[in-house]
Amino acid sequence: MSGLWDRLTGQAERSSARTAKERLIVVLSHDRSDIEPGILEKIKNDIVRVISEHIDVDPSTVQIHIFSEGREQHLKADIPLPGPARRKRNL
Amino acid sequence: MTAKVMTVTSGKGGVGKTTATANIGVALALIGQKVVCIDSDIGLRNLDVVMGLENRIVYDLVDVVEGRARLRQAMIKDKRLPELYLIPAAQTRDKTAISPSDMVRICDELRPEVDWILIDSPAGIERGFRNAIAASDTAIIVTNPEVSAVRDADRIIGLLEAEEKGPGKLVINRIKPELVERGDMLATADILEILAVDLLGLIPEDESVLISTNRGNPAALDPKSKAGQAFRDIAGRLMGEPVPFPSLDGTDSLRKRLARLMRRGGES
Repeated sequence: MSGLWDRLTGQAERSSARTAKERLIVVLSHDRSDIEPGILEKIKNDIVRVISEHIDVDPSTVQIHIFSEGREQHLKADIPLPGPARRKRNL
Repeated sequence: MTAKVMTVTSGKGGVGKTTATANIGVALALIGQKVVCIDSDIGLRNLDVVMGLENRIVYDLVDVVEGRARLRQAMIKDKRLPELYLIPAAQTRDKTAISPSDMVRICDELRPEVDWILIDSPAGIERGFRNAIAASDTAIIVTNPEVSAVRDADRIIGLLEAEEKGPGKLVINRIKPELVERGDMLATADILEILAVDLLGLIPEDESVLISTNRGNPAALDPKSKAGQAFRDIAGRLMGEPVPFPSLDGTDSLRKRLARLMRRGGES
């Protein structure tokens, strides 16, 4: 029965068209911005370094990526802040 | 008259630029528009054979640029339609034989004479592409529902924006509804979402295109051809008519979808 439900909702299996779309979105975000994936990694490391001077962040949780809104490209950094216990006390 | 100059381009080769140019030209001429198609693919000319005018070439685009012929002499008149003309590319030269300013000059000379100038662009993003877009007011971007063609279309759209030629309008060619339906071909909505560009036409995969090209009679002349109808729809939209887009996703109605799913459900 779940097979029928999956077919009804169009989620029977991961279709190749869906994979194509997702791959295109990633590759075009780099094509459009002319930023190689390696550069993003460098930017991420620099951001982590600067922020770490003030706040204790976990580098492994920091994410930086390019996303599109229409044909406009945005660089988005997501930096989860630590809980109060892990904050540096500068006062 | 003041012609609208449209460049048909794609980035990637083999997606149907020349077929689209010939058929949109024919479709516009069928509704009484005066149309000149220019093949700007110097050295790899093909618009002549697709339009079925290859035996009538005396002068070409490079002859005009280099002063051996007047523009009028290089315009081949289509015998099937009273107001359709072709200016063929030179076959024995290369892209450097003409410059962007030559294209601007030629189109400026033609503009007062006709309603539409359609420029068939070569593949690629180099000199030939620059020549093809130099004079254009707007572009028609042709793509297929394939990752490589969509990626190259995106690059072209970016280059057109950088040249301030507008984002252009998209024609998706060679759509196979049955593949879209089973999830193995990018759907129209996916491509439009990715490219974020206006849609001009949806052309189904249709063997009548191959057959009509074999004969040198563009499919738009064939009232029974589905692809031909899609090209005639494009001409209508270019004239400002609100021609609806048929769904080529194979999912027109929920009832049809349900019926199909129940059928498949029964098999498994």
